[in-house]
Parts: sequence; C-alpha cells; structure tokens
Amino acid sequence: MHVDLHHDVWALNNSEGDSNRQWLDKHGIRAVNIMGSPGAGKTTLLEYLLPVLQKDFRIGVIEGDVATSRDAQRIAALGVAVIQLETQGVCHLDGRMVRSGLEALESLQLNLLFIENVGNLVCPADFFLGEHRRLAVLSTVEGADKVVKYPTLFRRVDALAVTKTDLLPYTEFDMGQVSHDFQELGANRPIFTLSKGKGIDALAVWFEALLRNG
Amino acid sequence: MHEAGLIASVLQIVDESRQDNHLKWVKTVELQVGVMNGALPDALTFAFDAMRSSYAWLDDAAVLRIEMVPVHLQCLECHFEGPARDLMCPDCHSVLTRLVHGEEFAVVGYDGEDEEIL
Repeated sequence: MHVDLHHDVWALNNSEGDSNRQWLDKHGIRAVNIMGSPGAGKTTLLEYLLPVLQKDFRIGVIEGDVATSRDAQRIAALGVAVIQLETQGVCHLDGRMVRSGLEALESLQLNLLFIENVGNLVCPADFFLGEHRRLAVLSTVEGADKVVKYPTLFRRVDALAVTKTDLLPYTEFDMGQVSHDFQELGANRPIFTLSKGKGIDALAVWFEALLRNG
Repeated sequence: MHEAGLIASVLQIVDESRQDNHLKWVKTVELQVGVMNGALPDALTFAFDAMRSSYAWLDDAAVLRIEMVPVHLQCLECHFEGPARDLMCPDCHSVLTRLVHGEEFAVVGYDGEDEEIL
C-alpha cells in the first residue's frame, strides 16, 4: 500500500521554535540569534555591545556551547543575566534547548534577548529557535571566501558583522568581495565592520531600531 | 550537517502515519530534498542505513528514495520565473528574487504492508 504524505520535515524541526516565538511575543521580548565560526568574536561582540544597549534595555543572554561555561562567565561579568546551555557535543542549538533557557529567564522581565549559538557555520542555520532577527559574525582572519562557501547560513541572516578589521593589513581579506557576495545572497542587508569596540555604535543603533519598529 | 537528525524526523513522521494506517512494515520512503538545503543524498542514505535497525517496523531491505529539487526562482525585478543556478536571476542578474523551489525537505510518501512479508 502506498501512502501519500507531503509532510514538511522542517515544520517538525521548527515547531519548537514556533512555540518559543509565541512565548517571546507574549512576554514582549525581542530575540536575536547570533551565529558564526568558533573564534569569530561572537562573545567579544556582545562584550562591547551589551554595555551600550544596557542603558536602554533589559537584556538577557543565552550562551550555547558544546562544553564549559566560559562564555557565560564573560557575559555575567558585565552584570547581564545569562544562561549557559551546554549542548554536550551537539553542533547547534535547537528550539527545545532554548526553551529551557527562556523559562529560566522568565522572572527578569527582559525586553531584549541575545542567543549566542554554538560556533559553527553549517548546522545552526537550519534550526529556527524563535528569534526575530539573525546576525552572522565573520572575522577577517577566517577569509573572505566563507560567505560563498557557507551560503545557507549567510543567506538566512538579516545582517553581517565583520570583526577583527584591525587585522586587515595582515590578511588577504577582501571586504569588497564579502560585501558583493553577501549582497548576492540577499539584497538590502546591512554589514557592520568592527574592531573590538570600534564600530559597535552603528550595530547598537540597528538593534535599537529593531526594538522600536518590530 | 545533521542528516541523522533529519532522518530521525523523517522516520518519526512515517511512523506516526504508519500507525494511523495500521501498517506493520514500511518498505520504501520517498523524500523531496531541495538542493539549497545542503543536505547531501549520500549522507541521508548513510544515516537511513545506519538507523534502520532501531526501527522494528522498517523492513530490512527498506529503501530511501530521494528526489533532488533544483532551484526555481521568481525575479522581483524583471519577473523572470524559472530554473536558476543560485539565487541570482539568470536574465537580469538581480538578487531581488524569491526562491519558489529548492529549499524543501519533505516526506512525499511511503510504501507499507499490513502483514509480515513471507
């Protein structure tokens, strides 16, 4: 007997993310999923960004890592509420893991949540966590070709932060190429260039607009 | 990639439907996989073969059939609609396009038996 199904597998994978999104909206929290390679500078970006946004927003962070709570300790040092999710080997966060973090943060009445995904340019792109926006982080030392080599991730983000631009003189990184390739995967998306704290204000303005305009 | 996780989801979907239809065995599972997913057919088949022994209702000789779905675009600028290599319009080279096909990952159907095969 043949059974016709036409059942979307992504829908099953993403159903937890959909329910997180409802939870976030009910609690008035905007969420951002930050993705990039290990060492791209995702946590460092937050270390510079959070103090700027902290003046106006009640911020929480969910840190996803394969092992250790080192990133969570760095965020906690800023006085920001943080939950560490240790995936114990899994290469990405999924909606179910994030849900447990959301519940732990519920009593804090946050209005902005950053979810720092596991360092990886492949798997995190396929899992909707419930976030409103996605930010990709790429460092100059990784090479300009990463955008075209990992198109799924760079296509499914709303903005790109290029970090470690102070190292440009020592790399072959071609900013024009990255800008062109990123644009080709999806038009009208901003690129922010960062070197430690330099450039962080423009990124903060983008997040502020996100909160105001939905 | 996480082909094993995707196959686990596929088998969960098939198992639920199989029980609804009172089918004891499943012999073939058909998937439609868009090329933009980055899920490799070989890796999906490998995961299916590696996991089959964990599913008692999956026939020992069960086959996974994968139909790859090419990119099909709609250009928002020149209104081209048709096949493309990537997300750029092949006619006017605009990147303001909508992906119509190429990102799906669906269980199209399966073949099952309601009795033990002799």
